[in-house]
Amino acid sequence: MSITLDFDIQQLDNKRPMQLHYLPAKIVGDGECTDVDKHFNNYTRDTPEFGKGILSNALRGYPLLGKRESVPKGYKGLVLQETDENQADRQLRLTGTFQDFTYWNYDKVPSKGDGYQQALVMLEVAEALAAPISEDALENEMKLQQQAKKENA
Amino acid sequence: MFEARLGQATILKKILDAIKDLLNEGTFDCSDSGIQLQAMDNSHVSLVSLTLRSDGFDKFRCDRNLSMGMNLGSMAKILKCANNEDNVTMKAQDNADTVTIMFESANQEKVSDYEMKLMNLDQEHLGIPETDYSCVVRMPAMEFARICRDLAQFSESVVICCTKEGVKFSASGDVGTANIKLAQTGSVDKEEEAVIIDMQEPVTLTFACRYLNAFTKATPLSTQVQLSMCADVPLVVEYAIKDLGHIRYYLAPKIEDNET
Amino acid sequence: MSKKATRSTKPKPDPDAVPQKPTVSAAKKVFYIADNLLQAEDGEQRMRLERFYHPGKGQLAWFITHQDRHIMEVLEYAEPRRSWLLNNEVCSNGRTYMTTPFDATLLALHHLRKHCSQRAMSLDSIGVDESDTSVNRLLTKFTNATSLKCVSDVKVSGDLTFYKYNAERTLAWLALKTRGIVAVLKAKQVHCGLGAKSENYVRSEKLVTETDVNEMDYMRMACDYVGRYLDADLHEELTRYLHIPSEIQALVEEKSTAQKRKSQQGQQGANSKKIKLANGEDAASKLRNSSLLDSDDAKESVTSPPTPAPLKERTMTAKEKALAKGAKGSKSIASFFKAK
Repeated sequence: MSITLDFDIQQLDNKRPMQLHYLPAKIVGDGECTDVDKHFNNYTRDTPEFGKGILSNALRGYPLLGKRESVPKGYKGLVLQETDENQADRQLRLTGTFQDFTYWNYDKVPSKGDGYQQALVMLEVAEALAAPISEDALENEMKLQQQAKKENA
Repeated sequence: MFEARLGQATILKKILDAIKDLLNEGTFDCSDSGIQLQAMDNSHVSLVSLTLRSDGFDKFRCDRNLSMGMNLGSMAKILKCANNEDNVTMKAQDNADTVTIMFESANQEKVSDYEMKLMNLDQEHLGIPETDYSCVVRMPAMEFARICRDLAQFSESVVICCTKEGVKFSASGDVGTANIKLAQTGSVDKEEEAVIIDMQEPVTLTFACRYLNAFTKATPLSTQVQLSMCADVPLVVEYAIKDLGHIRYYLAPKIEDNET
Repeated sequence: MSKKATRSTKPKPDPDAVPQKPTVSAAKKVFYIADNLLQAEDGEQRMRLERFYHPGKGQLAWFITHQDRHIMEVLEYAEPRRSWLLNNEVCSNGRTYMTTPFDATLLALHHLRKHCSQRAMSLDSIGVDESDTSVNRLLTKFTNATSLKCVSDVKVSGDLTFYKYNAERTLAWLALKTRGIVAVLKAKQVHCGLGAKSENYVRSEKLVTETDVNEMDYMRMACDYVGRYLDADLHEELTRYLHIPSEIQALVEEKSTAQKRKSQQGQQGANSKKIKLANGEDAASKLRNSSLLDSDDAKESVTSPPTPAPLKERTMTAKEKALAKGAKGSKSIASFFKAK
């Protein structure tokens, strides 16, 4: 069973980038909501007293502290939509792209300690894991291991 | 909001000194009947229970029940900044995360205020059942402190044995053995020097010396101390705080050795 | 007597009804897709999400493939209670899916160990009888011959290449990968020690000296990371190969080095000079004699060299230690009193 990602790369550059907010709340619902610009973005304030680039806003009365974040280098942010979950052949279509988004924390200044930041570090670790190893390096390592064994024996 | 004022900071200083060695932090539960603190030490071998009645304060106001978790070491440091005769006032707003402690000098010319952050402490309250103690001894606090200090030189444990002859404190170790017997005093001039023993049944229990010595830090608070004992039940060491309340220390007995 | 309905009363749930959680199926998903997957070579873009057996998880997991040649892993970053706001829409799925570079040899390893330990086989004959075609597909399309050479012995016979699993080469190969990861962890200053550490506080200079045990902590974390893609027994072999002590051993070692450090510092402190005042007294005793200090303090902290605070988090003060020692042999007071 596989899912095809069905879209044309060319389309990526033509579309206007989407405006994304990563909210610290579980919203049980999907689909159109209110005019975000009018009811949410309008209230975003710069709060430099918490740090450079920190923004503040509120959601349903709960204070939010946020920061503009970019999609990690070497990646593109895409929003994909499943066409019909019940079909045998599942397909994901492209709804939009984005390069930055606003990361919001509930009442906590966004910092290096956030789970999201640590996940980005893991991207680099994954790269290191995937890096190819040359045969020479391998032969070398095996020789060293043999030597160590002889010394310990 | 919560506000409590004591005429003499020295009492609060002595209270903190009596508990800060046993407890790193504790929750002060404030209600309109007064302030209560109940906490176990780190090793869960003793329990400190402090009660200060609202009518013992010069001024006491507590609109809503309030629990303030505090670092006792920090609080003791703040109290060191006061002179003994200063007026001390503790204030906190409902749902606040800080408590304000204010000292006013006797001539009211110097006023200092300190704001301390409160902590969120997860401490459950333990229910202390009403117990009929087999043996209750009342004696001068200094005497008890002296006994505990002297016996600590001999051993880590002190055996308290109460019979109709009186109460005997013993310790034995590498150096040797030590026994201190106190009989009920016949007639004394001053009541606070009396030793009064109320015995229903003889009791012998063993306790950790270091903890008893930690409890005796409360000696400055009272002239007398009351020890209550019953078999297999924690010892209660109680110091009354004049006109204000009391501090009670509960200490679990040592596990019996099979060999004597 | 009928109960007045107030705002707080809700209709009683039917006791026989099966409890249903409110389900939302979010059609949209937020992805970070690597640029190199999005290179359009021939205009036809067919990326697919496929499932292959993941040895670390012991079951099938999602991967993203491109033109039947490139494969990347799909990692899902999820935090509890998160959602996305996309333009003017809400999306209940607060996860971020990321494609990460991935060495397919790690997946192949599992199959090689399983089938090719005793005899050499050609890739297309492995897993040919299994109902799950993903094995065959993985091995024939997405693996890289040079990488496979690093974990097996290769025999070429005519058109066919035969692979036989070689444990020694595999362990050496994995060890090199682990070291690569250690380098990244160090570069990003990821905290690998046994305790948790807050990112929000500035580290005092005094704590920087705890470098002796850290190398092993990095190795352990890196090895565990590699182990996430390996069968459990292979992970254990790798741990042994890299001589990584178990965490309990590390704890014991750390305590003993902490003791050594403490006694060394005590010696250093004794050499600190006492401040001399004009009238010949030293500052410490003058302070003591003035009535500014309580008798308690005068004995402890003023004259003795200041013991450094940073170790307090891990070790107890002398007083606390003495109390703890005194506590030995006593029953627990909690056993006498029940929580209210």
